[in-house]
Amino acid sequence: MTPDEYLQALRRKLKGFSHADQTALIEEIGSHIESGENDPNLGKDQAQRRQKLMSELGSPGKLAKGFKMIYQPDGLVDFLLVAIPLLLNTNLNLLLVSLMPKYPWADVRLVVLLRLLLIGIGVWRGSKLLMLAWAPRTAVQVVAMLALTQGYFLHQIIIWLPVFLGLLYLTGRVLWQNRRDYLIVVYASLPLIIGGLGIAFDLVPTVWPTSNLDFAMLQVFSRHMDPLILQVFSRFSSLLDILNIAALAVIFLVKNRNYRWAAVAIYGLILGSWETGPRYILFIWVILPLVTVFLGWWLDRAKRDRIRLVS
Amino acid sequence: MTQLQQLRKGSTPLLILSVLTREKMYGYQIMRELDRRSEGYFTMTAALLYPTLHQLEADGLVESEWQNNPGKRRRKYYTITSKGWKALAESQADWQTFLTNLFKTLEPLSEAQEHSG
Repeated sequence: MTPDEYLQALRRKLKGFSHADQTALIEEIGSHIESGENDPNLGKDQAQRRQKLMSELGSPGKLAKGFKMIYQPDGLVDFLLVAIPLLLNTNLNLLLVSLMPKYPWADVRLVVLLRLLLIGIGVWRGSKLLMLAWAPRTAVQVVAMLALTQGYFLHQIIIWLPVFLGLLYLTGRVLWQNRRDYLIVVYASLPLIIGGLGIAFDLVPTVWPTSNLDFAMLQVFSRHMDPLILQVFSRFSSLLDILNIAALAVIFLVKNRNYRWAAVAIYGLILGSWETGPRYILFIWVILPLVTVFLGWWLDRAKRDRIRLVS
Repeated sequence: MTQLQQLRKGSTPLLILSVLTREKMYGYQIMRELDRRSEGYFTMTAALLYPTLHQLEADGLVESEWQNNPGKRRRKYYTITSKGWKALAESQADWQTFLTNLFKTLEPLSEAQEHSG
């Protein structure tokens, strides 16, 4: 492979990067090649230098993969593949409810299938953020489907159990591959921890009155607040949806790690706000995400302040 | 990847920062300097060097600037930052502790053989 062919191959592999990033990266590697070709210490003649230089470069694919891990160029598409389905979630549920009388199969299973499709796209695109946005929460949803529907879907366990195990395996595999990136670990674990605990609480026989966080707060507001504020508060759920999308945008698109950690904390709090349980433990849905994120952030900061001994 | 290869790969950021303590350098120059200092032991590919440099820059441990090179392509020079100096000092201390304790714990092979035989 000649240097020009190498740079062309690299440019092809950098598809998806912004034009400015792509140009700067090609220029830097081009400059590397030029320096090597003019370095008399690298070989007697140009052919010898070029041969040594090309062997030192590593493949264009490997180089592009290394840059991809840092620049995350496809973040916007991946983000949209999470944001759009989340935004349309309520509409999809309404559509399913309206279809169900005529088409009894149009239930939560269609939502799971749609999410499996998104996970498949995540695998195909090699996007850990996309995969981990859907795989853990879909795994939890499958469990909820089997455990919390009074046996409605249990006769299909032969289908849903492998799906659940597959999702768990995929999540575990991506987590293991990224085990040193605490932000990814926490981001993927929150839906599993919060959702899993939520199902556990739902399965416990209801001795104490249950409530979710929105409802409990609404009760407090209704006692003490002006009706106008109450009206504003009633729109809180849609605000939470928007906040959720904003947090995911930061996780997917922003490079600053502290901002991303703050976004993961908001993401965790919103996941918690959807959960129910005995009233006296509602604080768990606030404490649990915050403590998990704080621990992750603290470990991450300690690690980032030092250079990794083993990458 | 063997443990030794992992260790070598893991030491890349430390080696790069260490090279940059004397002067600002561009990628090719860093590669040759590492090669020279380690007498060929720490020769690395561009596929390892450049992503590591860009990661160090993203972490604020180095900063870069483009400089014109008359009649040739521009070069991107890297400089270690104050955060990079601090990270380098801590990492060097970590390695020092690790290596000292490793060799303190390892018994010389000949003695170990005598002991077992």
